[in-house]
Amino acid sequence: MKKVLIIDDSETARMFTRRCLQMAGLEADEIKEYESATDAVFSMTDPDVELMVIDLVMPGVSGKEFLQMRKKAGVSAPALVVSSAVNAAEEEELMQLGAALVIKKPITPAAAAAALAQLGMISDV
Amino acid sequence: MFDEKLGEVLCETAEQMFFQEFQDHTADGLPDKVFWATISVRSPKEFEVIVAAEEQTMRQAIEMVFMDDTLSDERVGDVVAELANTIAGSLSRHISESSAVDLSPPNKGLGDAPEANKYHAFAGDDLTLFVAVRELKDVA
Repeated sequence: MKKVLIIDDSETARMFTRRCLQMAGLEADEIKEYESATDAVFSMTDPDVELMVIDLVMPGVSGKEFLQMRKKAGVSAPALVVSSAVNAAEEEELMQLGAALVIKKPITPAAAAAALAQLGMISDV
Repeated sequence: MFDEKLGEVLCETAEQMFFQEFQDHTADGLPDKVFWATISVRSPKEFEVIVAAEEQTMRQAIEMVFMDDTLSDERVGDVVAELANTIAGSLSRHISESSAVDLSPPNKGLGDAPEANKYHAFAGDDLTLFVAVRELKDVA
């Protein structure tokens, strides 16, 4: 059972992310969407989760705080950060917090495909 | 300082979201009833991005993208907010690649557009977007 979590307070962003991942060739048995990181906390240690896609700016628990919690819990599933609020310095900090990759919004099918290929989740694009 | 970059960022973002090309456009003021969203940037510089679009044309453009003609006002407003968020982030990166980027969650609404000194208009095939940037002050 392969699960993917998409965590973003914007329904639009979740829809774009889901669509781009699917167009990029992601195969998942279930894509679960969460509108807050707080709601997603209990799913992050689910062993069936193969990928987490996380926004940064969210009310309540932020994307960075979620990454910290994830790191502390020893979660091995890669975290893909999709955010507009990222520059080079922020990207470095996110990688230190355990992000596998960072994509700037708006996500596109090409950017999603490149990220999934880099994570070994689809064949090279 | 934002004017030059604003058009580039808006057109690129809107093209990716709405699958149509946008260009500078001269408009005689804003429509009476718009979907609008604002994002406040607190770092690397304090400014606010406002995005607005006429109610019906915005709704129709989004219905085309979502392939759904039963979208709520909340859902349409969410798309406008996402557009404002992406523009605010891109402008922040343009200002600095080394300072922290700190954006607020969006404010959004339907009605009169928020006041601003100048709105820039960008037209696509069937949608005109109005964008303003209110510069507040340097944080750094």
